[in-house]
Amino acid sequence: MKTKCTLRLMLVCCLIVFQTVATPANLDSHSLYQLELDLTDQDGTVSGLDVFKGQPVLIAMFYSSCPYACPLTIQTLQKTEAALDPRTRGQLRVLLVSLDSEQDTPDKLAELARHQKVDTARWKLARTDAAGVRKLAAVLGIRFKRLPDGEFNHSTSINLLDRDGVQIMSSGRVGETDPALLEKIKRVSG
Amino acid sequence: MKRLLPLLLLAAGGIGASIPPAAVAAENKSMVVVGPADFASAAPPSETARTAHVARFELDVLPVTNAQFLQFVRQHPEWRRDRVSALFADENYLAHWAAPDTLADAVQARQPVVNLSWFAADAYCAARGARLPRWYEWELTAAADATHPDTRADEQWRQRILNWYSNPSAGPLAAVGKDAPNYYGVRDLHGLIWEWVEDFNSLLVGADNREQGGADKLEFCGAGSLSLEQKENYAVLMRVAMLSSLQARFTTKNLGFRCARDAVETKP
Repeated sequence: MKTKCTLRLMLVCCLIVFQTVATPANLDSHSLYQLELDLTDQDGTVSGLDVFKGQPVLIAMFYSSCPYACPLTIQTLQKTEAALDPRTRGQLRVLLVSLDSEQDTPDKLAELARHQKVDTARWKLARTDAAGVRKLAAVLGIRFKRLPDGEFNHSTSINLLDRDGVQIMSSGRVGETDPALLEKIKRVSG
Repeated sequence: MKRLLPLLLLAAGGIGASIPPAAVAAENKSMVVVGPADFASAAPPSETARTAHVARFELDVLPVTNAQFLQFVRQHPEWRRDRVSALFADENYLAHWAAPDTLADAVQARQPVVNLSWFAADAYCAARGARLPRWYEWELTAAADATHPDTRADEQWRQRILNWYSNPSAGPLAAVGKDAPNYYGVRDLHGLIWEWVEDFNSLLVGADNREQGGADKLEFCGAGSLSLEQKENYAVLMRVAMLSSLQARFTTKNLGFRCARDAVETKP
């Protein structure tokens, strides 16, 4: 009986937590977490865009069959992390969302995560559907175009979100760490 | 017919509880089928593929009016101008209305709705079970005059359109339905408003970003290198340039929209 009550209590708590997260009224009106889209990560786990809510997040868009620009984006993210002190790095999360909703399955994302040696304790490589891609690209100001051969042309940026999902900065510096971005990361982590 | 009616109502009810059957019936008459077509676009798909394939789709005959958008806002109050999130619309969103749920006057009711963001237009179409038209769909349909599917080579036609583009904001907007239907039965594609398209942020993303030299150029790889055709078709190029300059939350006083959807395949 006691177990049942506890379970019920837990269920109520879960519901309350869920409602708090699901109510856009609680979010800053600039928060990206107002976007309703489903992410599926490299392990097949489904979440919302707000999966890292409460932590500072670097978010970028890519696609896994991308030969040059996207690996460079991942390497830039890794260099950026490496330039941070351990405490700041420990707070930071990285979310890479694929532009290619057709090809990028969780398996492909997992393979890329292994290949690029990303720390999946703090990183997520994720896919969403075509509508989700369009909306996320729209709020991030990323322009992209699917080419007839299945590749994408796209603008590249690394975007910093604060703990509430508000975009603090967009950096177009790819290939090297952006000092301004490092400064902003430290500030939102403080 | 008596037997058919409940069936029709059932079918309409199945589309979505928030859409009244009458609206669905009216909507059916307000869209026409366009395509399929292979189309030489002013903004070709890639360096090598110069022709865009447009699958069969349905397009609204008319742009969405203020009255129609007001009805949507009443059903979806999160899109009222006093409640809309700053992420989804800038400060001029629906600024021309008298109040968040009131139009200025009866004249405004029949005018195309403007001052609205891509997100708002997208949400309106989604609530109707539709979507925004894609650029190639819009461009294909807008290439027609009253009798020809592709009249872009006609210099007089081009000049007529260009005259409006050079002076689009003079005086109050006309009511929708100002122009006669074109070859496809679609009206007001030129000379009334600019229109959002679903993939506005794919335009002018032409050249290949894999061939960029300096790393700091990468952000601009898409936007900086455009590849446009048909330089004589200046009016269309202006529209491409305008759309590609927008952010999804932007609103302007002559930017509206209409909806589209994939055509239902009819089995033989």
